[in-house]
Amino acid sequence: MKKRTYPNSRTRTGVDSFRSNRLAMLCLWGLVIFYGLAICADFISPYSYKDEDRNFSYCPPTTIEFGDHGKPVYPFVYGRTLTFDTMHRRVYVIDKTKKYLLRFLKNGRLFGVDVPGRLYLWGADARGRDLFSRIWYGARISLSIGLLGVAISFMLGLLIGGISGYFGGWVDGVLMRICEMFMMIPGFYLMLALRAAVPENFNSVQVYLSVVVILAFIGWASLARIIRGMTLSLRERDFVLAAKTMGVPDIVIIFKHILPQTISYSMATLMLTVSSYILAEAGLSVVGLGIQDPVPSWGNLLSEAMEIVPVIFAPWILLPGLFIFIAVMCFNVVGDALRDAFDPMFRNDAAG
Amino acid sequence: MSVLQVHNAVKNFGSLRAVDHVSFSLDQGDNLAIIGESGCGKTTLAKMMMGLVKIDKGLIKAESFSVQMVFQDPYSSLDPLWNVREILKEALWRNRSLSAGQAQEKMEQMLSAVGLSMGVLQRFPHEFSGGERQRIAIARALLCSPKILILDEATSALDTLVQKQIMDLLKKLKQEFNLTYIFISHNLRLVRNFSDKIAVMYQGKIVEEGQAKKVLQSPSHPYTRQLLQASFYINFK
Amino acid sequence: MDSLLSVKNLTVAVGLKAVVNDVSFDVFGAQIMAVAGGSGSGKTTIGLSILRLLPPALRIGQGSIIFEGKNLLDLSAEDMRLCRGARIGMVFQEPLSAFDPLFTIGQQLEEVLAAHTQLTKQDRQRKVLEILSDVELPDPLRAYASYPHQLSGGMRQRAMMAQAMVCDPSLIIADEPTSSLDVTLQVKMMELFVHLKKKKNISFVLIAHDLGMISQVADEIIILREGKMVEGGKVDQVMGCPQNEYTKQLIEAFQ
Repeated sequence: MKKRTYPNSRTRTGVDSFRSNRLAMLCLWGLVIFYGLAICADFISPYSYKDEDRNFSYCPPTTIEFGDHGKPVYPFVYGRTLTFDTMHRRVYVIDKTKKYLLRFLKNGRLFGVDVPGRLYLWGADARGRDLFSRIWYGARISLSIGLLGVAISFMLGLLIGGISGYFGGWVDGVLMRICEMFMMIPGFYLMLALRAAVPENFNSVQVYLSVVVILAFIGWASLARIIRGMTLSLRERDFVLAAKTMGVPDIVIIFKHILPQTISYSMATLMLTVSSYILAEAGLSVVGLGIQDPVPSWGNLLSEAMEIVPVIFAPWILLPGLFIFIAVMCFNVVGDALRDAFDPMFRNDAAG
Repeated sequence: MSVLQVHNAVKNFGSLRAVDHVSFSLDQGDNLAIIGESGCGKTTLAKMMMGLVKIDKGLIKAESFSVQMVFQDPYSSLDPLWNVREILKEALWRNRSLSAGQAQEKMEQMLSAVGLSMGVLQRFPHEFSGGERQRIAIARALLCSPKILILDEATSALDTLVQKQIMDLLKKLKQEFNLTYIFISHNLRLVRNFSDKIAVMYQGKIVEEGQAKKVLQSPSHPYTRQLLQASFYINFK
Repeated sequence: MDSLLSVKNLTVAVGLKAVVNDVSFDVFGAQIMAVAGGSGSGKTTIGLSILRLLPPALRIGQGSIIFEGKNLLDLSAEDMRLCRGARIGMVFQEPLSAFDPLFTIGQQLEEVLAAHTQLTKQDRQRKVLEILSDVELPDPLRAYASYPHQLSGGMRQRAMMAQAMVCDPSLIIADEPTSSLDVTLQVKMMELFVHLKKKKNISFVLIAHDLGMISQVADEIIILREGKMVEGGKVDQVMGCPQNEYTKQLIEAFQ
């Protein structure tokens, strides 16, 4: 067995304890797969997120046929024709005369069907865009927005919490009052207010970045408070005093001695924060203030399911909600498990 | 030659006077023990000499960076996330213009002075016993080339045998590096063969001060007598 | 005379490594037995074995622990729980962690009594106050109503002693009971041990690394090194003319 080395015994017991948590490992793998698929969205999805065909509005999921009259053949899909029933509702009738073969590795995509056939694995939206493709393109936005937002608020929180706790006195007073001001305003309203300050005519990249910044802005305060609390006790530790007496500057002590000690705990908090950012982005998008169509995010995909009528006739448009649910749950389970594994308050160290 | 002067030093924590008009001075090569029970202000006094605690009134004169300290608990005085090389290197912070080779040489010299091998450089604090950790802490303090070393209960957390080894090591290092020691403890027994001068602290004041022999043999303050009795187990069976 | 506690050939191991290796000793009534040794000598493990409070990684390989005629290792978990606290008391190094910060000393001592006896509320209260004055707390009534943080270190250590003996046990296991105290308080604590031994007929197993302090109060002593017993016997004999090289070093170190 390969022997692994960790910087200290606390990290080792923490990693071991996390690995023994099956549910958390499952969720961690789930997240790895989600991110993997999101990164490969261009490859695994049969269509681009913009690729629309108005003739197939709310087309139900297509089934791939593997046999013809009981004989196994090369996989294909049947064509569909749009008709209207007596209530003027769309009905897609399977047209068995038209067969479109499944094609692999064509046009740089993993799979697709011959044109003019359309492949809707998980159905289509109002403009006949493939939901399967849009979900994975949307995953790029939704999953990265949480990470980026957290990365920024994490840095802000670490820095401000570290400085506040380390120096104490009026520095601490001022910084913590600012934190409290941010925490005082209900998050969603603060988000809406900040979003209102962003110009209307931003392109999609600019909107994306502004949403990231807004999310980071509302989340750093609570992390800063936690880090401050930890720093308050860490700065009294002898190794910090020793560094001071050796003439090491305060800012170096904060970065090299204090913040590394808080990392394992804040990693856990971070995971929980990612999930809340994914939800926050969805919230913004659902009310139409997040990522703008045609660029998909799980939030704005779900916003199509705001009205009851389309949901009744095309229930598959709720699928993005399921993905949000799974991703948020995975982040929460992993975050909780990390905290259990690394927070000494929850664990008894046998070694003295 | 005087290396440290403390003149009427006062420190208050709220309404509590932790250090109350303490004065003494140390010459190069002195070996002073400050004895007192917990809460008597001896650790606060040490921190004032280190510049870790601001002085309220009075004066402490020492060359800057000439005072270093070895802490009581070797488990918390070394950063658990750092290996020994990084820990020792930090002590060379004010000499960071040194080349990597020179720094390495200095660290190796100091490690052999405290009786540790080069192999320890890659290892982390939790891999060492209490005595070894205290040796690392001493090496770190000495790498700052101090004139005065404050030993704050530096052996109290150790086993009796290890305690003796560390005390012997400290005696040797004192010669080698021409150091001045301030040994802080609650136990007179620990310092009787170690320190030349003894100052007894009680409720923030130095109540008795003098040559070690004199204080141990004919204590003048009742508190010193009480401490002596306790430290040397006057039989009470 | 029958011994109160008889530890025979006790071996405790982590996996295949023995932390306590074939240790035997007897404690008689009203006697203080000192168990001395450096860190890693297995002295704390012996104390925990007697109380059957060993961490799960440690297993008792062989041996017996006979206390008041019963082998403690054969008792059911429930019988052992009744024995602990009622017949065997315990005192640890850190007094603050032994008490719940949310209840007064009095409440916590009464709780122990309620768990082990049928006494009425008034009787329990009377008993607790009596014990608090037995451990020579200067103001038992005040200590009774105090929360743990309101007492000084020395007083807390006495309160813990009171907690250990509130059910009139015949044996108290004390693991480094004075290491967190100043010398002057250490001596007073040791005096209390001797006083309780005489007045209450309690025996002690005193676990410590400071040979000097315990040798002054103990009647018998065993010296441990890396799990093995290197020397044992009457204190005066062991301290006066030690046979073992390690014991000699230990004694020399503190003189």
